[in-house]
Amino acid sequence: MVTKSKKKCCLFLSLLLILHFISCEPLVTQFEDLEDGHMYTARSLTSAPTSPDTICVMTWNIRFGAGLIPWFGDSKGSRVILTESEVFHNMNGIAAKLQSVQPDILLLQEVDIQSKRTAYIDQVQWLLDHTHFNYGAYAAVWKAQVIPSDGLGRMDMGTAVLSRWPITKAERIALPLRGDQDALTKHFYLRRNILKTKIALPGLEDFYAINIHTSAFSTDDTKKQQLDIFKSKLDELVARNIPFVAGGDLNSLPPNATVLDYCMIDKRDDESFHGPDDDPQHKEGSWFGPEITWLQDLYDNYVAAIPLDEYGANESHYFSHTTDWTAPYDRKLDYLFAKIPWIVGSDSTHQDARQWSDHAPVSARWEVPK
Amino acid sequence: MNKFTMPLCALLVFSINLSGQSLDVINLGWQNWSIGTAQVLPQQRVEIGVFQPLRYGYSEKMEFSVHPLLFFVAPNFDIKRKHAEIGGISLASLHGLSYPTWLMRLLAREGIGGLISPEFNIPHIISVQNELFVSGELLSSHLLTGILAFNFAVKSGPLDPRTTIDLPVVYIRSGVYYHDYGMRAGVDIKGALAWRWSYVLDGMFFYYPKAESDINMAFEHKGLLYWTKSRSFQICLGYLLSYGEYPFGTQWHLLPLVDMQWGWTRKGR
Repeated sequence: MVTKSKKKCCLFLSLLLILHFISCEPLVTQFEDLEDGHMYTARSLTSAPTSPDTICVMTWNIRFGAGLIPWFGDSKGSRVILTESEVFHNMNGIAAKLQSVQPDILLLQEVDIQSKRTAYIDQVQWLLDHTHFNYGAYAAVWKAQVIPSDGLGRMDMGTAVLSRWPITKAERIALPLRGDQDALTKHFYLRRNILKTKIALPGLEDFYAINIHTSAFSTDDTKKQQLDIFKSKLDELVARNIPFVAGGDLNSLPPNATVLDYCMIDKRDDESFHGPDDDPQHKEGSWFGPEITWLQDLYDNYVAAIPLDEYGANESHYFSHTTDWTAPYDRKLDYLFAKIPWIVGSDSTHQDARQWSDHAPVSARWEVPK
Repeated sequence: MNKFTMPLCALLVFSINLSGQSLDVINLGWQNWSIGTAQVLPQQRVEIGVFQPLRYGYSEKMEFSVHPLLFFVAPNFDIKRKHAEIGGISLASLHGLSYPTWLMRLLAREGIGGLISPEFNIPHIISVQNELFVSGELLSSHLLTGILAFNFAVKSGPLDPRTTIDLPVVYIRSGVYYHDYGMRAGVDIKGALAWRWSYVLDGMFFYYPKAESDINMAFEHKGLLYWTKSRSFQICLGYLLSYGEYPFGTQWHLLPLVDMQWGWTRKGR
């Protein structure tokens, strides 16, 4: 009798321990080096071209539907948790812009699917249901049951690819984490990735759209490592002779940019930089001097939708980002690359969409190889 | 299958899962370690746990309790009174007050530790809880308790619904601040296993009638295994299974529970 009871107790204890170790949902989601992306389909499908000669590709950091609201994290603001109506208002503006440009493939950055700050609206599904896109793939960048800072709460933000045609495969390729943060901050911080999607583009057996959003505020070489991995993924496709379009928010300036220091523009009123007693000397993410050549390799090996010489001839025309709502766009951070050239003159930096994000969408047409 | 079916089934399953083990060594009486039952602590006995309230047996029929860790940021005080014991069935009620405003304002901060956005104003909130316990012995070594509770909150102004902390345990319990009043019903069974081992299984159903229908209920089930060294000390290990309707949808959580509890009797009066 005693032995039987003892066995029952041991069994109960063992079960409890097993439950603890295998069943507890992590507070912060961490990722394997390679995982599948999360697939989406629009509630109702719209017809897509069956033999396109060219496609329009767009990249857009939509700032999680915050529009011009001065969000605390990146625009000298104090807002943290947006209302549902604010988010829907901005998402409607984004959808209207997409409907007017009619891109065939869209690379999205900073899209929320289940975040407290954006009223838990699944923005990927919402965009699919309110635009001409039929299919989507999503890869989380920042996913946690709670971010215990500034009242952010639950977070699920990431990158996404939307397409008129079916996405047959989506891979989330993990990028290195920032190396300049303490362990606690790093644990709750963003986990950048490359979202590599295979799209059933009519006329092509294999075709990929690749989306990246690199580190914005790292002060070490984290972003360089991320850019190198991005290029290596493009190199792999080139080696296999597979066509692709790629791009995203690279958080880097073109190598021939003339202004490299945005510290004084980006700083809050209570911050000070460049002074003899200031430490650090530069604001995180605002001083591009040491990293100005980091995109050179991409420009040397791939065809940019906006070539460097065109950019250099009229920089402000191609600016796609600002942190100051009262001033014009003042830097270019958003890019499109491919191996097969873009159609000359087809590019557009849509600075008229300023109301809907702190980034302008960038689009260009790409000729489908026959 | 409606949304109430699954929690009710779970409640039923564990409620009838009685082991029937005999009570050998730890027959310390139901009054000790009696939280969650219709028993009150013996007069002048004090009990406290790392995560349990500080409880004091004021008389044979009344006990007082506070959560000491929370007290300085969320003042709280409960009185539990045993009303009757008839034919082995005990009846008690608990009445408590808490003032969570300071804690919520503390959590509404910039930077690390901010669980609520500092952009919101937190009004003064007083929460009142009222619970009814009915306990009866089963098979001489198990105590079955039914619990019914009605809570309500009064506020000095509106509380923005975006200030919720959407985490298990916290979201469910703070629902009364946002929805004015709420109800709970549950069952708790505790008993001896063997030697110094005992168990507690409970289930609690939460309901907020004024909340929108997709965020108005929750269910929690707890399983704890206790090792009792003496009347003065016990340690427990277990789990909390929580199902809740949150602003982002429904979710199950399984959380580990560990606690140490101490008890003693005050000398003299």
